Amino acid sequence: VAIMAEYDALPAIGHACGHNVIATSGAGAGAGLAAVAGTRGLPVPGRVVVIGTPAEEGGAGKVRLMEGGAFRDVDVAMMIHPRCGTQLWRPTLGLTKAKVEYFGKAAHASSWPWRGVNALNGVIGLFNALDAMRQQIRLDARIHGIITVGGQQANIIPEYTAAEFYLRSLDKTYLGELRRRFEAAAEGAATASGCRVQVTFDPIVHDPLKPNFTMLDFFGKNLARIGFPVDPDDGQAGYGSTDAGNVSQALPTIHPYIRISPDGVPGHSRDFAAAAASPLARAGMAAAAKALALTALDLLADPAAVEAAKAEFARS
Amino acid sequence: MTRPAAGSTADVLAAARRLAPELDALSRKIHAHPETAYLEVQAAGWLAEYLSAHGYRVEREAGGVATAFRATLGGDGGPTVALLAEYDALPGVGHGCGHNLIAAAAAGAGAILAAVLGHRPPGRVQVIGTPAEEGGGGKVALLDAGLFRGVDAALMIHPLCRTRMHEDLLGRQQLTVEFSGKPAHASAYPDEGVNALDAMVLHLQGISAMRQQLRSEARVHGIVTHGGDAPNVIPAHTAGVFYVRARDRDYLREVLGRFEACARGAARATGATVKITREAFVYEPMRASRTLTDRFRDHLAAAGVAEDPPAPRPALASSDVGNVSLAVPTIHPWIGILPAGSPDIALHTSDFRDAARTDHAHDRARAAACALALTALDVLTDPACLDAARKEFRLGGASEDPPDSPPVAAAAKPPLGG
Repeated sequence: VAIMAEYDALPAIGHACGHNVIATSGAGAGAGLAAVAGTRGLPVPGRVVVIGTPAEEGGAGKVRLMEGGAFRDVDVAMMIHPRCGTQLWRPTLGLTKAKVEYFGKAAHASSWPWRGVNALNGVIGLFNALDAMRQQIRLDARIHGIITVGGQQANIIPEYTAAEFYLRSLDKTYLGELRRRFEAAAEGAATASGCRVQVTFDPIVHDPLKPNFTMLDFFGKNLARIGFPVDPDDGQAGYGSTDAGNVSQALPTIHPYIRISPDGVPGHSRDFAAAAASPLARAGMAAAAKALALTALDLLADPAAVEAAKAEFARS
Repeated sequence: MTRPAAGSTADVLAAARRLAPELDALSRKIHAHPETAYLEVQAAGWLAEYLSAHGYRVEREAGGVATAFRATLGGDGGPTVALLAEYDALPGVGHGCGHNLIAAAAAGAGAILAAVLGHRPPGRVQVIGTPAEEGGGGKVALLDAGLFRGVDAALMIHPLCRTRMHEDLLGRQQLTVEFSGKPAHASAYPDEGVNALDAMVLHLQGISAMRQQLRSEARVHGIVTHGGDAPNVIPAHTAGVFYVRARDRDYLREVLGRFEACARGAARATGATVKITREAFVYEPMRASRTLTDRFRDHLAAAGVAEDPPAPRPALASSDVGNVSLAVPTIHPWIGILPAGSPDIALHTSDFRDAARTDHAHDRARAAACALALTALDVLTDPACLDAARKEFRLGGASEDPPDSPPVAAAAKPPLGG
């Protein structure tokens, strides 16, 4: 049984995704199990590994670890993620990352503007096209980005601009369609502005999370056993993406959410960063560590349970 | 310059004074009954009757164009000079371009010439009624019909705030752009639609962004003529009409290419398809005859109207007279119709429409008619004048600036550094 620990922060806003809670609940579960094992070993057959998985926020650390063989002997994997409510199952979106570069022609922006080809017009045209496109994409799909190079100096018609985007959707087929339409938007903006465009998709695609209700059932019962309540999902928030999705497509995996904040505090906000160091987060962390440890013991004690989890994985 | 006994400046001015009441009445009648492009039935009729009454042989529906006419004085032998009359109004604004004054000046010059030349003119005078200058390309149709074959020089005036012998007339191409997408219920199944309105909006945004990279005298502008059918349907079809303008034909071609790239890019970005239809004709950039313009300037001064100082910035328009100017030596001077000291008014506004019916405007139109008549007399009776105009025309005119030269106003002060 692998227990995954994330611990990376976000640029500028710190631990606004609360990965410190993932890390300590994972390490806490490991330490708790070690205490149970003492010097004689675990009371059940098998092995528990805690895997430190860096760079969940855009770096796809788990994908690299899988490629490096870190999950080769792992039968099932578990982690928790902090949230503004405790929910056993919420989907995550498949995610593709894209970099778009526009190549124009520099010119003095005041005396010879008509001799330039404005690469910033390319990137603005793309944002305009994506804003317009959003009405015609599925509700679950997301396209969002930032401009990383917006020009060189205000008195130069920009000759080079670059932007980075995430494309997301609940299923990989639709992600493919989004990719095609995104590329068309990028090319259209290039045609309209007279620029050359280069679209580079990150070879790593974050897969959508595949649920394993067999394992979630154990986790839920263990939360109940320690008296930590599961909350109804108000269905208001959209979904994120995680490299745990790729793990879940390779082996039975669970990724339940544990409350660390009051209702309605958005992830990736400064409020959530503050919540991740609050007493509520401490309670969530302790409960999660216990439930993870208990679930690991349940699975190790009952080979049939692991087989059932694997059978569900194979079916779905 | 030589001046024949018949048709001295004094004769011309005297004739103009005699004719003034009927010319003013004609102009005001046209002004009061605005008719838009190719629908100028009354205006063409009134002008034809007027010239007929002054001894002209009038052909109605000249060149097969219902509201065109050609009125001719004199027969074979000698040069042919054409006076061009426009008389179409604008949709909504009426005579906001003051074409009633163009008509009065051309018909007035015709009547003056009939009065001073009698029945044996030393050549041929034609007043050509050219409809539909406002977007319809009436003169292009008349050129195609061969109406300017045998014409040695074409003369017309146009009202403006101030009197200037020259303002660039930009080349202009009209285009229709249509986007087609896929309709869908805009609330229930928006993701199944392809939004043709998005394509149109992106096209306009593309043009807005492009404008920074155009030479300052180039113009791209348009309207959306069909923007969808119902707010709850993802629009499957949109259409717009656009003008692309530039000072020379090469740059017009370049800007047209970039305009069409905006449309294709908008289609590509949205998944819509695009159909671009260029109007069959182009308004060519004006190549005014400097020789004849110089003559006109002198005659206008003799009629009491001096040229105003150059404009602080150019007023850039287009006209189908540009096409005539590529076929025969042509002039298109601008006649100021506003009193000295009054603020300028933009063409195509209701203010300019009102200015085009004042007594002052009609005094100016009469002076313009005198200058047109005197310039026409130069063409008919002064071989040196016509030779110089022909030679200049053969050499390709001199009014086009070399490519990439900054516009006059911008060149006056150097761009800010940094």
